[in-house]
Amino acid sequence: MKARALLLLLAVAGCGRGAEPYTIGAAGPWKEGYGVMTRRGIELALDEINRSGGVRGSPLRVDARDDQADPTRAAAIAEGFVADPKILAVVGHVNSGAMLAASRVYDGQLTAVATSASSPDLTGVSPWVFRVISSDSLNGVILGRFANQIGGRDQLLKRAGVLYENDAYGRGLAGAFRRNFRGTLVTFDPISPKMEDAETFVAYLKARQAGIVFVAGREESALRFLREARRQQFKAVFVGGDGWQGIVTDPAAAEGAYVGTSFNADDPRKEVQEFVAAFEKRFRTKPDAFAALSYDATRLIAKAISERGGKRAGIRDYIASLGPERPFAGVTGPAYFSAGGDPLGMGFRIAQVSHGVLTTGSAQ
Amino acid sequence: MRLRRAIRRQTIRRTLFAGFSVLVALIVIAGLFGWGTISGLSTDVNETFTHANDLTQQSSRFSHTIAQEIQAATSYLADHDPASEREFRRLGWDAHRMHRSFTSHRNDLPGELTNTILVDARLAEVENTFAVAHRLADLGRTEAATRQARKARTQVAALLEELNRIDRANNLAFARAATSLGDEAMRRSMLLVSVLAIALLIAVFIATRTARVISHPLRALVKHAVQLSRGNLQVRTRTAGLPGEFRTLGDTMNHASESLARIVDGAADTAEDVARSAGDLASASKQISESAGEIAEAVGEVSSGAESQVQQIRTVNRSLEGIRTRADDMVAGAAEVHALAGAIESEAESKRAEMTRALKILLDVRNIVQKAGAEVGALTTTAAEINNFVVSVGKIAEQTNLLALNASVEAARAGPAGRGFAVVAGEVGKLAEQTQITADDVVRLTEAVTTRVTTTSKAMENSATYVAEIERLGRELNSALSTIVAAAERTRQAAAAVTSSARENVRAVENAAENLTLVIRTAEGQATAAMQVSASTAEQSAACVEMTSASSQLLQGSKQLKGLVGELKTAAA
Repeated sequence: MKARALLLLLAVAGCGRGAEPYTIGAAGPWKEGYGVMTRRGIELALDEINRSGGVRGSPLRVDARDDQADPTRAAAIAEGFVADPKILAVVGHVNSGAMLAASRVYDGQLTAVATSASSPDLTGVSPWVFRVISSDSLNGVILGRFANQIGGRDQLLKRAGVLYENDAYGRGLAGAFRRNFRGTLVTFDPISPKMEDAETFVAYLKARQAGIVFVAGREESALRFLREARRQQFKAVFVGGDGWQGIVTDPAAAEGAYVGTSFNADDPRKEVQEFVAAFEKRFRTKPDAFAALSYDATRLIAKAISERGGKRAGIRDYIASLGPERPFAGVTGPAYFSAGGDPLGMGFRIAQVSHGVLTTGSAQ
Repeated sequence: MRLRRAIRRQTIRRTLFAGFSVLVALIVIAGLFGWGTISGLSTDVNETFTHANDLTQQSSRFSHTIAQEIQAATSYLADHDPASEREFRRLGWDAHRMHRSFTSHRNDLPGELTNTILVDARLAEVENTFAVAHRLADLGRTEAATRQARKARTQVAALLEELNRIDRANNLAFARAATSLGDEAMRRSMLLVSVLAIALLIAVFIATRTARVISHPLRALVKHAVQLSRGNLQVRTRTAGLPGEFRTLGDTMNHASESLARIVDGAADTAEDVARSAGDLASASKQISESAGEIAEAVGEVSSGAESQVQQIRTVNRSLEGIRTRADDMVAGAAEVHALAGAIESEAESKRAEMTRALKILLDVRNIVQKAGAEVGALTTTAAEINNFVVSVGKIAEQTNLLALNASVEAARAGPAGRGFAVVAGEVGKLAEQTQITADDVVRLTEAVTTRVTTTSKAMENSATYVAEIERLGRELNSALSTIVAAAERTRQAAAAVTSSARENVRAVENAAENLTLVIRTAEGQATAAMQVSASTAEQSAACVEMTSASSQLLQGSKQLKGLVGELKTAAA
C-alpha cells in the first residue's frame, strides 16, 4: 500500500500541470521478487512518459493493485477496474493463473496487457487480452529443444526429471517441455510454490540419476530446490523457465543454472541499453525480463492512448492493429500481436547464471 | 390533435379501417410481444437449465475424475504399479483440463468462477502431497509416505468438502436462478398483462373514439334534422372536422336548410304579395260591387224610365188612337165638306141656272125680288151655318196641328225609330195648317157671300129698277156662282185632299201607332233587358260580394301563411 501511494505521488508529481490525468490499472503479486521487478518496470516507464510531457498533454497515472498471484483476487481486482470508468487499460496481470481468471472479466470491457503470464491457455482467451511475453507453448518448445541440445551424446543427459508448480503456468510450461523433450523423463511431478518437500524430490531425482532437471516454477521454489540440490550435492543441469529469472539473487545456489527469458539485458540495441542504464541508475540493479515486460506493456498502453485517446475500445483496436510493418518498438523486441493476443516478433532466449548475473552470450 | 386533424380528413370507412388496422396491429404487437416474452423466457429457462445441466454434468465428471485420480494415487502407494502412477498423472491432467474448460466456460452463476478456482488449488495441493508421498514410497520411506498419504487424505476431505460446497453453491445458484427466472417469468407475465391491458385500453379508446367520430356528427345531424322538422331553418351543422360521409350529409342538410330557408323567404314574400293583392282585390271587388250596385240602381232607374217611357208611349199611342179617331172624324168631315162642296157646286149650278132663269124672270122681278129677298134671308142663314162648320173645321185643323206638333215631339223623343213618324207628323201639321187656311178662306168667302147676299137683297129690295143692274148683277152673280162653283170645286178638291191627307194621316197615325207598338215592344224589351241587366248586375254584385269574401278569405289565408312563415323565421331566430 505504501508503494502504491508512492507510485501515485510519483505519477502526479511527474506531470503536475493540472490537466485531467489518464489512468491505467496495474495488477500483480507486488510482494514477490518478480512482482517487485514488474513494478519497477512500470514505474520507470511512467517516469519517462510523464517527464517527457505525458500522454496527449496529460499526465499518465497508474492504479496498481496487488493480486498476490491469486486467481480469485485477480478476478475481483479485474471487476473493480472494469467498473471504474477512469481506468482505460490494465498492465498485467503478472501470473498466468491470475490472468486466466481475470481474462473472463476483462473480455469485451477493458484492454489488459499481461506482462509475464505465459500460459498457453491464455492464447485466444479474449480479443481484449494481450500479452508481451510469448506463450509457454512456444517457450516450452525452446526449452525442450535446448534440453535436447545439452544432452548431446551423453546418455545421462538423456534422462530428465520435470517438476512443475501445480498451477496454470507450471502445467503449461512443463507440458510444452514434455512434448518437446526427446529423452527419458524419470519423473513428472507437481510441486507446491513453497516447495516444502524439496528434499524428497532431490533425493528421488538423485536416486533416479536424472542428468537434467527442468523446473517449471518461480524463484521461491527454484531457490529451495537449488539449495537442496547443492546440500545433497546433486549434480545435474538445472533448467528453468522465465519464472527462474530471480534466482540470481542467490548466486551460490544458482550458479550455472539455465534460465529461459524473453529479455536480454546484454542486447546491444540502443533502446535496450538505454532502458538498462536508466533502470540501473534508478534501482541500482539490472533489469530482468519481468521489469522489461512491464516496461514494454506500460509504454505500449501509453502509446495506444496517445494514438487513439482515452477510449477503452480505441486502445484495444490500436494494439490489435499493430503489424510486422508497423510494430511496437519494445525493449523485449519489436512487438505486434496474433489474433490470439500472443506477441509475435519478440524473442525468447536461454541465459545462464554466471557469477550472479544472467548472461545470454551463448544463447541462440 | 394530430389524430383529430387526421380523422377530419377521413371518411368513416377510413376511420373504421384505420381503427381496425390499429386494433389488428395492437393484437399482432401484443401477440408478438407475448410470443417474444415467452420465447425469451423459454430461451432463458433453456439456457439456464442447459447451463445447469452442463455444469452438473461437468461437475459430476470432474468429481468422478478426481475420485478416480485419488483412487489411482492411493493404489500406487499400495502396489507401486507404474500404471497407477500414469493413471494418477493422466487423470490429474484431465481434471485440470476440465477445470480450465470451467474457467474458460461462460460464467452464468455468481461465485462460479471463484468456486472452481479454489477447487483447482485444492486439487493441486492433493496432487502435490500425493506426488511427495509417491516419491517417498519410491525412496522406501514408507512411514513418511504414509504420513504424506494421511495428509493427502485430509486434503482430499477438504477437496471433497470444496466440491460439495461447489455443488451446494451451484444448487443455491440454481435455486436463485430458478427464483430469478420465476421472478422474470412473473415480471414478463406482468409486462405481458400490462401490454395487453394497454392494448385493450388503446382498443377501447379507439373504439370509443371511432364511435364518437360516428355518433358525435350523427347527433349533430339528428339535432339539425329535429330543428329542421320544428321549422328552424337557420340551424347549420358544422361540417369541418366531420368524417367524409357526414361531411357530405351535413353539407347536404345545410344546403337543404338554405334552400328551404330561401323557399320559405320566397313563400313569405309571395304570401305578403298575395295578401297585398288580396287586399287590393278585396277593395277592388268592393268597389266593383259598389259600382255594380250603382249600375244596378242606374239600370233600375233605366228600367223604370223605360217603363214610364212605355207608359208615355202608350199614352202617345192612345193619343194617336184619338188622333186617328179624329182623323177619321176629319175624313168624315172632309167627306162632308166634299159632299157639301158638291152640294154647293150643284147648288151654285142650280142657282146659276136659277139666276139665268131669274134673269129671265127678272121682269117679274118684283115678285121674284121679294121671293129672292126671302131666299136671300135663307141664304144668310145657310151662310151662317157654313161659317159655323168652317169654324169647327178650323178648330179641327188647329187640333191636328197641335197633335202633329206633339207627335213630332214624341217622335223626336223616340229617336231614330220616330224619325219617319216625325215626317208624318210634319206633313200632318202642314195639312192642318192648309186646312186652317182653307177654312179661313171659306169663312172669309162665306162672310163675303153673306155680305153680298145681304147687299143684293137690299139692292133687290131697294131697286127693282136696277134690273139691268140686277141682270148685270145677275151675270156678275153668275160669274160669282161660277167662282163659287169653282171655289166649291176647289173646296171639294181640298176636301178630297183633306180626306186623302186625313187618310194618309190615319195611315201615318196607324203607322205611327204600329211604330209606337214596336217602340213599346222595344221599350218593353229594353225594360226587360234593363231588368235583366239589373238582375245581371245584381248577380255581378253578388259575385263581387262573393269575390270580396273570397279575397277576404284569401287575405286571411295569406295572413295565416305570412304568420306561419313568420313563425318559421322566428323559430329560427
